[in-house]
Amino acid sequence: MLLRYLYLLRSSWPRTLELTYWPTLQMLIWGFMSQFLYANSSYVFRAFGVLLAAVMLWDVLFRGQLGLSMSFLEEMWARNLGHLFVTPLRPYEWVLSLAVDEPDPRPARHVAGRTAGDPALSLFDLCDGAAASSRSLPCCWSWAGHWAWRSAG
Amino acid sequence: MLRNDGAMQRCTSLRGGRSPPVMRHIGAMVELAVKVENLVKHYSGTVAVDGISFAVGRGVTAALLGGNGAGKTTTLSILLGLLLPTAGQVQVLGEDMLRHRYRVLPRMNFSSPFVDLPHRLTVRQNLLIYARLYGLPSRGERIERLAEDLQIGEFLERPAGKLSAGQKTRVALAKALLNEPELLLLDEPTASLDPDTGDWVRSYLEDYRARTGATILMASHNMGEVERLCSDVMMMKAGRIVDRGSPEALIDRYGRTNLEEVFLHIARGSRTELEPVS
Repeated sequence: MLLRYLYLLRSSWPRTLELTYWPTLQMLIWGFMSQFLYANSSYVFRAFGVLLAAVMLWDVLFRGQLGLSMSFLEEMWARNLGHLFVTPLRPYEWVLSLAVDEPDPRPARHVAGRTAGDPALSLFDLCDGAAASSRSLPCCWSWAGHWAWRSAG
Repeated sequence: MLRNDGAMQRCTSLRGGRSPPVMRHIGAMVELAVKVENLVKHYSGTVAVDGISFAVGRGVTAALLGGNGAGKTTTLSILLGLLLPTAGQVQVLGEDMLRHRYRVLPRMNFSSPFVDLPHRLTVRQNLLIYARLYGLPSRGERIERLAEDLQIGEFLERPAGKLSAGQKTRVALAKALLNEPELLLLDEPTASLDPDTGDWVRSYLEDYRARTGATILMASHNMGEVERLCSDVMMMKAGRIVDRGSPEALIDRYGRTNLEEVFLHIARGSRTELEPVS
């Protein structure tokens, strides 16, 4: 399912742009402002910087929620849910795939005893280089978030 | 037109080298693929399925026939576990569908022209995702073989939303056959197809059942298709099974010349005195 959403993002550049542009812009603006306040201001202004960082993180969550909703609606529009829910895919796996990116799925794929139709494979079984690509976006967020947090003090 | 070379070998290898499916099914001729008892489904006051009972043996092609709103699609949806019944028991491939749905789902599949694949993804991407969801080994190889069998190779790299109705149906069939299902549920498998493509799909389904010994349960409005493919027909009306038998038996029973006339006879209420059969 993660691969499915990766294919979807790849096939729609406006969505990818929309998903990355605004959070990046806000992170840059608020990050620099927070850093400025942290370096040049009193204790009160430092607290204000933390508040700004919170606003920034809220935007990340907001965009994440937007992306999740869009992916869900995409399934509805494509009338694909009927096909999805007659596969061994469990609802929680589907919800997780909408929300989470598996950091390194490769070990899960090689667990002995997994056979055709094993529902546990459906979420984590990625290969063919797709995993590396799908990781790039969350890694970018992780790095940006880390940087923003440090900037905010 | 159909290419069946090495088909049996393919089946055996796909199922991990066990005995060929045809032999397994012949050995298990008395086993039931589907068993439904007193199935009831209400939609906020509307009775969609009204206490039907039936069983379908393994290796059989059966059909649910009936007018619009007769309860065919609801019955199929319950068999797939997409809907919960209001009351009744459903056993699929020997498992209780309400309790052990995930044991059965890898062994069955479904195709309908009314359920689509994501439009923006290419046919190959779509098939690859479903192959992963079914946890198939050697997915690429399996997709290539199906593409060859169903003649979809030329548009594997095309987005699913840009296919014609006939192409979409063949792709949906490829998706439904990815896991080589023991039970294949089809909702109007040849709806909106031209006669040539429709005939081709019917031939492929006949061949698939003969090759694998799979059970096929379909809902259809195409009487010619049902006469040709099915050995067991259940006539539904207002959520009930009002008659059942082979196409020949039904035609004889109603003194008609073909199944379409039998269908019209029942649908127009000429046989309202019929008690539901189980």
